[in-house]
Amino acid sequence: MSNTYTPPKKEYKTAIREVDLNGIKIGGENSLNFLHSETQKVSKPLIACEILTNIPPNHPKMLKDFWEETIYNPIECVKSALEKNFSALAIRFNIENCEDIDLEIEKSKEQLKEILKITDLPLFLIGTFRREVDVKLLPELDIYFYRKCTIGAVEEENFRKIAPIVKECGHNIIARTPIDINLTKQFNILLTELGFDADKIIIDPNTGGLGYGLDYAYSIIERIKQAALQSDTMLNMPIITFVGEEAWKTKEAKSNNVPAEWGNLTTRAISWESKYCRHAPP
Amino acid sequence: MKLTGLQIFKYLPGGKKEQEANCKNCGFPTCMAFAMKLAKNETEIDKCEFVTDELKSVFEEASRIQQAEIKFGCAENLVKIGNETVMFRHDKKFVNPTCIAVKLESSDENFNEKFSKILNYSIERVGEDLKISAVALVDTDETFYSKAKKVAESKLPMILVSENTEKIKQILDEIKDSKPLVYLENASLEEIAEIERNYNVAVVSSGSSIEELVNNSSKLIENKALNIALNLKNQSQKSLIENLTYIRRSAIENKFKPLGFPVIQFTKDIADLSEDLIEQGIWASVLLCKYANIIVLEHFDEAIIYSLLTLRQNIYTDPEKPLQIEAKLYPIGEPDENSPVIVTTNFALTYFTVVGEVEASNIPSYLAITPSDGMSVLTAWSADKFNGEIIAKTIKTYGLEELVKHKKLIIPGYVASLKEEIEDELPDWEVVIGANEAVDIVDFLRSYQKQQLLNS
Repeated sequence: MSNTYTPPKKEYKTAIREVDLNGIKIGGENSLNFLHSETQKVSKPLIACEILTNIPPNHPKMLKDFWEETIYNPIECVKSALEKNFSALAIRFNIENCEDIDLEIEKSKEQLKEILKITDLPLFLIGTFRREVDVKLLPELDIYFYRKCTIGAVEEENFRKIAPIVKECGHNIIARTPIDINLTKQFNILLTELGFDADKIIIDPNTGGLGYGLDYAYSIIERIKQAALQSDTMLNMPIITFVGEEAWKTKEAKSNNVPAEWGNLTTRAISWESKYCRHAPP
Repeated sequence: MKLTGLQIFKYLPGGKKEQEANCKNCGFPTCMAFAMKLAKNETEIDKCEFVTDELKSVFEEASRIQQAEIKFGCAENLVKIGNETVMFRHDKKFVNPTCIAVKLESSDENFNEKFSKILNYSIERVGEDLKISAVALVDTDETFYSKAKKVAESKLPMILVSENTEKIKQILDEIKDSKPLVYLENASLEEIAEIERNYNVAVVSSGSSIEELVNNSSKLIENKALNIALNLKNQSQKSLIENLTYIRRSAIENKFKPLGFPVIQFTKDIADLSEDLIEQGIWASVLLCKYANIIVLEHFDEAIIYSLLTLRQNIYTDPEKPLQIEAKLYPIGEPDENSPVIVTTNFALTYFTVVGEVEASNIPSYLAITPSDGMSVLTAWSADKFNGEIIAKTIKTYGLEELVKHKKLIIPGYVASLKEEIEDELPDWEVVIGANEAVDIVDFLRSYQKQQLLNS
C-alpha cells in the first residue's frame, strides 16, 4: 500500500467563456468552482443587486424595511445601491401585473434612460419572465446601443423575436431553459445558428428555491459546468441564477406565522437567499 | 464500485460455457447462483476452484472500499457517515446524509438549557422528521464527566472532545453503550488507536494539512484502527473547499486508503470566519455540499439549523427517486366555493412549482394532487398513472363536489387529450384546459378567474 499523497489535481483544457459585461468580465476559469490551484484564472462570482421597478403588494416586509422609501423609486434604488458598493445591477422591469403594458414599456424606457445617466456599473436588464410581455418589452430596452448591457431572459418560445434585436445592438443575452441540460445545449445552438455570438450568451438554467427543487438546479449546474470543462463549446458559457427572486417568494423568507423551530425570520430569510450563492457566477 | 452478479458470472465456467460449468463444488447449484451470492459478499471467492487470476484481481479491485463507513451513537440512534461512492450526486446519489452537530462546552453557564434545545429540536418537512444529529461535547472543566453521562442518558449521539486520555477512558468505561465518536486532541497516535480497539469506538485523526493527515491516519491504520474520521485544522477560507475536494477525490477516484474515511469539520477551524451566525451558516452549507461528512457548528440557532437541514434534504435526495408529496387536497391561500380547482401529480417538483405560481397569482385555489408514484405530468400520463379514472377518483375522494359550486376542473395543458375521458367519469364536471408550462399559470389563472366573474 502506498502512503504517498499526490494532490489529485485535474487539468481541463477548455475554460468557461469570458463574457464582457461592459468593463467587467465574468467566466474564464478552467476548473470547477473554488478549486484555485487548478485554474489558470480565478473567476469570482459576481453578485448583482436586484432592483424592481414595481413593488407588488405582497413584497417581503424585510426588503421594504431595508430599502425604506427608496424602494418605490427605481432611480433612487440605483443611487442607494451605488453607495452600497455592488459590482453590478440587475434592473427587473416587472411590469407583468400592470394594467396597460404599452404605457409601462414607455415608462420603463424612461427609467432606463435615467439609470444609464447615473451609473457605469454593468447592467442586467431583466424582463418579466412572461413570454408575451417580454416579446414587446425586451426589444424596447435594447435601443440604448451605445452602452453594452445584458438583456434577458429569452426562451425557446420567444427568442426569435427578441434575439436578433439584442444582437443588432451588441448586447449580451440571457438564455433561459427549464432545468434540463439537453434543452440548454439545444437552445445555445439555436441562438448561435441565428448568428448570435456564443461569447455573448449567459446560461440561465432556471433555479428552484431551497426546499423547492434547489437540488435540480444544483445538479444541472454541476453537469453543465463539467460538460463545459470537458470541451462542450455549446455549454461553456457563464451561468446566471436569479436567487433573490426564488428565495424571497418562499414562505420561509416571508412568514412569521410559522412553528418556533423555524427560528428568527431575519436570520432565516437571509439564510434562505444565501444558500444558493455557492452555485455560479454571477 | 462493486461488481454485479452478472459481471462476475461472465468470468466463471458457467458464463464461459466451459466443461466445468455448474459443477456444484462451491456448494451452490449453478455458477449463476454462486456469482449472485459472491456479489452480495455472502460467500468467498476461493470457494470456486476454477476462478481465474483475472477475476480475482478484478474482484479485489472492485471490492476495495472507497470511503469507509463509520458509526457512532447508541444502537437505537446510530449515526452512519461515509461510504460515499461518487463525487457528484448526479453520478448516482449520496449515501449517508451529513451529520449536523452542535458544539457544547462542559463549562457552559447555560448548559442544561442549550442541551435541551439541541436534543428537542425537531421539524417536519416533506414528510420527514428532521433533527440535529449529534452534540459535540468539549472538555472545558471538571464537569465533563457528568455532562457526558447526561448526554449519554439522553441517547443523543455524541462526539467527545478532550485533551485528557484518562478522562476519556473513565467516561468510556462508564457509558459503554453510547459509543461516542472520540476526538483526543494532543494524544499519541498509539493511544488513539488503542482506544479505538479497546472500546470499539470511532476516533478522529487530525492534521493541519492533508500531508499531515495522511501520515497520522496511516499510523492509525498500522496500529489496527479501522473506525476513523479525518479532521483538517486551521484552514484558510481560500483553500478549505479545495482541500476537502482533494480528500474526497483521493478516496473516491484513487481509492487512496489513508484518506478513505469520512471527514469531520468544525466551523471554528475556518480561519478568520466572523462570529456572525449567518456567515457561519453559509460556510456550513458549503461544507455540506463540498465535502464534509460531519459538520460541527459553534452555535445553535433555529433558523440556521432549519436552512441546513432543508439543504441536506435537497442534496441527499436520490436523483433517480424524486421526492413525492402526499396525494391530497392542498388549499392555496384561503379558497372558497368559487375558487378554481386545479389538478396535477404528486411529483414534489411539479407540486412546488405549481404552488409557487398559484401563490404568485394571488388567487386562492384548490390544488388536487393525484397519487401518481411521484411522476411528473407527462411521465405519469404515459405510464397511465394520470388518467381519467385516477383524476375522477381524486376529485370525488377529496370532497370537491361539496367544496365548490362551479364544478369546473383545470387540468395541465399538456394532457388536454384527457378532457373527454375525465368528463365521462365525472359527468357533472366541465374540464378546462390549463397552461402548458408552470410559468404561464399566473396569466392563465387571472384571465380564467376574470372570465368566471363575468359569467356570474
